[in-house]
Amino acid sequence: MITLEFFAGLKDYFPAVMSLEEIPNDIGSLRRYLRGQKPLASALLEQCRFAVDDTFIDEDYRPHHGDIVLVIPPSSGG
Amino acid sequence: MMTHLSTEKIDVMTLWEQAHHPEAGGVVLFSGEVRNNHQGKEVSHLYYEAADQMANKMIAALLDEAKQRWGLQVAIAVHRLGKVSVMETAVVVITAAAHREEAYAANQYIIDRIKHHVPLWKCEHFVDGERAWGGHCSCQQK
Repeated sequence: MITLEFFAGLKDYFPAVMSLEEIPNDIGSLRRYLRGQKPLASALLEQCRFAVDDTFIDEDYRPHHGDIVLVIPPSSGG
Repeated sequence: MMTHLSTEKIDVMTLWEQAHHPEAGGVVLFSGEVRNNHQGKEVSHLYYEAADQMANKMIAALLDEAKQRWGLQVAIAVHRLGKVSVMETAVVVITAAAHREEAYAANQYIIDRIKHHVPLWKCEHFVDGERAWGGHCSCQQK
């Protein structure tokens, strides 16, 4: 199982925290899964970065059991 | 402790008092404040959220990087979270260096990185009741 955390505009489509029993092969697969779940969020998900342990991860990162994966929309601080 | 994030109003003057250094001849303070309008619409207030721990770590690392790169004596950055009213400070960056050139350059670098790379988000709340996440800053319109 992995845990996903969503932020900002993504919370209009997903809960703030969500568990996934089936671990995706990589971040690309996770992105496709999420797009399939919420097609209206596709454009935003395409722009998102992902992070584990407070570090951005690449598209080919393979999530591990217990990972907390942050789904990070484009930054808009300041 | 979230040194670089605050749910309370940012006390800019207290931070300013911490920014002086005997070897610093140039001290630059940038205060990003909430405007009452965006693209012709009247703004009521902004709401900020962050991936707290990650954002705090990234800002700390960014300040260390800027200190090294520009030889700063002081580098401070604090970003507000939660509801921020018009004219209040949403983010403050203070840089102190031997000369103004380094202080200005480092300050600009830090605020640009905070705006575009640190996991922080703004939601604009308009007077007409609408809201919108992720307003773009002016540098993305150039």
